[in-house]
Amino acid sequence: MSSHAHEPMPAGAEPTDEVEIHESREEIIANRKKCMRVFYLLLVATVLTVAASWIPFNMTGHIIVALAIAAAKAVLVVLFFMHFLHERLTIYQFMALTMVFAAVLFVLTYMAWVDHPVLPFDVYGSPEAGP
Amino acid sequence: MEDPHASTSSPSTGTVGAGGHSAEHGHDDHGHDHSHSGNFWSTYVFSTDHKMIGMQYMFTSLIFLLVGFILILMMRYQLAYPGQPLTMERLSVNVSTSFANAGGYTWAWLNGRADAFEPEAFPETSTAPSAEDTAYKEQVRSLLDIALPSGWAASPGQLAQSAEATQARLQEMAASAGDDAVTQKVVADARGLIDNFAAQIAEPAAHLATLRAKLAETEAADASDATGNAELAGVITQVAEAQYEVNAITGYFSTHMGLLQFAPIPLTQQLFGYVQMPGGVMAPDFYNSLGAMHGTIMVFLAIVPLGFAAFGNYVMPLQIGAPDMCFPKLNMASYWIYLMGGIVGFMSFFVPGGAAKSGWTSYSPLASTADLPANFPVWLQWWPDALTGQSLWLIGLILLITSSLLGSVNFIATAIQLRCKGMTWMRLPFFCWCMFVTAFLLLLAFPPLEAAAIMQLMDRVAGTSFFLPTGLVVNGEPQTISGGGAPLLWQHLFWFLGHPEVYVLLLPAVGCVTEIIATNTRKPIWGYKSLVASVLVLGFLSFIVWAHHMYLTGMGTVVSTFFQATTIIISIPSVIIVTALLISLWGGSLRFNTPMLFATAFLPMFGIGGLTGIPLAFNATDLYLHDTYYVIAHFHYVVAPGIMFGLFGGVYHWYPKMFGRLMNEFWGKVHFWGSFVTINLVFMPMFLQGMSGMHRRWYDGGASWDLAKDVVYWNEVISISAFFLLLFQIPFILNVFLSLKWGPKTNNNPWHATTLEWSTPTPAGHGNFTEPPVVDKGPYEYSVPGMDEDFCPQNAVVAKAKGGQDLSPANV
Amino acid sequence: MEGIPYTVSARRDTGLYNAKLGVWLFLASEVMLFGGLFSAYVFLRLGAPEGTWPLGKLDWVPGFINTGVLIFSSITVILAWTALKLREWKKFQMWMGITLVCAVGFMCIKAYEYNKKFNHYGLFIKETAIEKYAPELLAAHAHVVYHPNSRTYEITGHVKNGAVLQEITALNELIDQEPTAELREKYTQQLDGLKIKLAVDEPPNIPGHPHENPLEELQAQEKAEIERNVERYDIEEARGSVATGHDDHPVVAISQGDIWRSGYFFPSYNSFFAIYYTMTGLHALHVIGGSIVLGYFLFFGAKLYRQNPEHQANRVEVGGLFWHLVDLVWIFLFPILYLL
Repeated sequence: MSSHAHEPMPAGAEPTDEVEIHESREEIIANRKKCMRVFYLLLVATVLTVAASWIPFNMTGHIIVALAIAAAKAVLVVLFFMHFLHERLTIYQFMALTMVFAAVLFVLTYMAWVDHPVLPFDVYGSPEAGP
Repeated sequence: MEDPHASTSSPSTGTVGAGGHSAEHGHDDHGHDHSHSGNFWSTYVFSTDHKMIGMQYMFTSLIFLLVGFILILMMRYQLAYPGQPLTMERLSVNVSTSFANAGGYTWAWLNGRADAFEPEAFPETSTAPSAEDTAYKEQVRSLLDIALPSGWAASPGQLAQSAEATQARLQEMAASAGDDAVTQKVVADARGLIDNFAAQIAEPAAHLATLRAKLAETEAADASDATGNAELAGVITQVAEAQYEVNAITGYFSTHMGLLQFAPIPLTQQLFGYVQMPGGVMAPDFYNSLGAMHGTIMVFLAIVPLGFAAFGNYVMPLQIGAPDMCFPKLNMASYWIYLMGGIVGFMSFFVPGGAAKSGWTSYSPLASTADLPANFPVWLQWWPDALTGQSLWLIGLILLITSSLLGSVNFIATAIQLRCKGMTWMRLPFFCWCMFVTAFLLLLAFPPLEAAAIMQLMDRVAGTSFFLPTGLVVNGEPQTISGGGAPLLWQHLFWFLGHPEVYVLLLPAVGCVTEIIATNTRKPIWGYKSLVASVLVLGFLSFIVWAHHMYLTGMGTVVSTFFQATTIIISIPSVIIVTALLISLWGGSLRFNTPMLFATAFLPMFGIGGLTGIPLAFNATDLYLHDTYYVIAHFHYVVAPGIMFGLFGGVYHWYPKMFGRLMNEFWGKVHFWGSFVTINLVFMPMFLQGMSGMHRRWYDGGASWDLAKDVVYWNEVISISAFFLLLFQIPFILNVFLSLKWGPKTNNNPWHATTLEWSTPTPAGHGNFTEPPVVDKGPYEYSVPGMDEDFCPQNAVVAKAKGGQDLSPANV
Repeated sequence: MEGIPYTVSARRDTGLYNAKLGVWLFLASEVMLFGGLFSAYVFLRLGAPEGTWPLGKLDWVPGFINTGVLIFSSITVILAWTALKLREWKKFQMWMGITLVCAVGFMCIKAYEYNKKFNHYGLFIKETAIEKYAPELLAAHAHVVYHPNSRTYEITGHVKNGAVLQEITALNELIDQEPTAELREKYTQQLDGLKIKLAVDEPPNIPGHPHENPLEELQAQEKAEIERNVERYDIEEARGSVATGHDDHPVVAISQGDIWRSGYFFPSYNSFFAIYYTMTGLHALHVIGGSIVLGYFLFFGAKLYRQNPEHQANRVEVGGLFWHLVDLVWIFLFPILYLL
């Protein structure tokens, strides 16, 4: 499956045909080796993220570095462990849609949060107010 | 060309087809193997067959629909006749007075004297307290004052004194009663209770007295080292526990002494308890519960399961030519989790404190703090947080979300994987497109609400402050919570689901209506491609309009503008859908049978609902209209005469396929016309009330508000119409059940429809089709020129129409 | 008509078998579920006033180990699946067994962490009373955080006199239940007089994020009277007089009457612990659910493997996809909860 993800339909075939998913022994073993390499990378990245937290950045710097490393690790897991790199078009479409809506959830909620004449968390912000 | 399966109505055909498969396909050990073993439980209860699950969903959701309707009727009674007890006697007097006033007004109007018309007040009836009743209650009250001097809690000394005094007073009353029936009854009713109280309180009171003495001693000793502290803490705990027990017993008796009644107890009080319906009059909290539970039941337990789960489960696999859903066991799990969620939610009426009362939107901080046992009377404070009404609502919601997730995964996978040979996307019946989009909305919009529900449950049970701000004051008490949470976050997460949910409600109904209109106009649906495009755009846009429910929270202008724009844009695909369906009627040879009546009524009703939504899309007008009855009228026009009519049409349309019998046409038409007239009488006046500024959450329906005095009389009209609306559902209920046995038998394709579900045996057996269907044309091939019949089923192998034209809509 | 197709082999136009499509759809919904929680985290953190979001409250070592454990279990699940693909049943059993051991190990470390936090205590001293404690707290080099919303000073540590906490609970309950006003008054006074002895935490050492003690600001600018007190106060002498407790941390005693609220590090303690327990708890539920499914494949999969090994391999692949998502969520949870 890995290398022939989007092959064109052969003549005379129906879209509803049942096709065997076949991978050769070599492909499977090669894939296993690749995953092992990714595993080592992930361990290194985990050590890196802890190490980075000891570098004296300011808080914004820490957030950027930690999230960047986390995102890189996530990409590795998704692409190789979940073999998303060789996945089918249908799944690409759905996951793209999901990511769009997840982004919508974050961005629009954040926008609504920021663009608020009375910030919900600043109600008692002034020293005169307060419980 | 004749439908090849039209005459083979033998129900066993499907079973034979299904029986063969397990031998041939040994690897397929999916759950539906069990379904045709003939066992009652596996066939009808724990079935994995999509058709049985669809029917289970249909009947369960129709029952919930009725329950939700009855809840709102009780609420409508309170609105029309505020503060009056809900008894049959009172109901008939009130309603007849309303009718008399309406008649009187009409007569006066006809005579040109409408201005001088004075409505009659509602007359007193015997349910009002009599002199005897009042005397009885006074005496009980005076006795209660002696027996429980400080209300619900007392110290041991006070208890001993008052016990003596009560006995003395009882003796005195018994002696002086003579022929006075009232006093005799008071003595008789109270003696048992008081003796019982004395017996129960004696030991705890003595215990408490001992412990208090011990506490005084320990304090005097004043050993302030660690062991001394621990010992003191132990004694204080014991005193607190003993005092709690005493308080609980006195509190319980205080309540039950207060419950002593002279007049007969109304049925509604017996059903819902004294706290919720004292003397048959609705308590304000119970009014709130009814509103919240009406919304919840109708949205989550009635319409979504009916439209999406019931019809989707039954019809969609048939229409795409699939043997079953992709994951039959998940499908069954989805139904049972839904039922569990429904029961958990509904049971909350019968827990202390009553059902959820923060609206179906469950806004925090109200929803995070309502109904916590700490606010209960002392004898109920042992009740766990997790079992209060509002918490049960959340637990029920989490179950329902889980159920709909399983359902939506199943629907999408089925639509993608199990379309039969030749069923390309553009040959898919429009109903399936609607289901496909709906499933996506459920899949992606529900999980954030699940996260939010978990967080709100944490707020209630674990004392967190996800949605509670710092400095929160509840009932005048500053709360010692950590604070720092954001009520607005709940609203965002809720409406992120809440708006797509509107389309989850709507799209199945649109699907049903499309199928019905195509079948009964005998011509192809106009603009199939634009319909499909519209429904996809609608699904996408529905995710980015949610904050138009939140203009009142004081959003800034930038975000408001964005959401106004998207809200207006989303009306474009909606209008395309309605227009396409409307144009489909043009030039058709219309058959006005019952499903078609419902489907055609859907169009103007949904149109009214949709167009009245436009003022709500704009921030400026919404600020005025948002909390008024205008909003109620707007979304009920969409949901009740719109969506519900579409779904009723669906029931009439697919009933013959489900059970092999037609429903009664005459009673169907009675159901339709009765519902159509009364439902408009219910919701149209609400527009007037709303535009006059009548608030939508008033417990007394505006009776005590000067602002509302010019429109408040519509409450009676609305409530009486709603009552008649219920009466007109009786023909439907009887029709559904009686036609199971006595409805006229029918063949496989009574409506001469083209989609695949009509080419299965009736009712379809396990595995649905006797042989795998092959589709070679679009879904709505009606009245094709040059053909003998006026319909051409999707799977009928036909010579292409004149000129070798391909009939699939993509090419027409 | 035959049974449900594409349970083992793929449909030609999508190239997928049913369960694979199903699990990806399920994962999509999980992304949205955790997306909702992550957005809650973002907004709680943004909503916290400047400098009050707790940092360094969690020990990074167990979190680090757990990250390693989960990543390792992810690779073992892949090895198990590969073994099935190569039809090596024994190897499958071994790798799957190791995966389950990792899951159990993860939960044990989680339980250890939770337990540690359940024994950590914190309290918020009212602004009006802080001057009483300022010298002592300064001398003890305590970690003090000012909360402008509630106008309180927060200190954390370990309680040295646990019996007082019981007494406070008992007295609170008694005050709630007590019918007579005089007794209520008496108990309230008694309650306010109780002192909680706390072995205070020192400021966490976060590089690039130096701790600013609000008491020093207080001392420096605002309250002249306190300033005088602090100046008069011989800090060295105070160091000598302050008793030490847990890990040689200095102990301070705070009167209950001066405390706005206090408690162990339960979810109700503050927004950080609320979101920490909710997210890690939900993640732990996923770990439990995933290991039940994988355990089913391990212990009850032999029959299916004999009948149709490819079907069994597909099942493990699908279960593995879910397991990777659990790993993926943790990859984000670790930095945002432990390191930032």
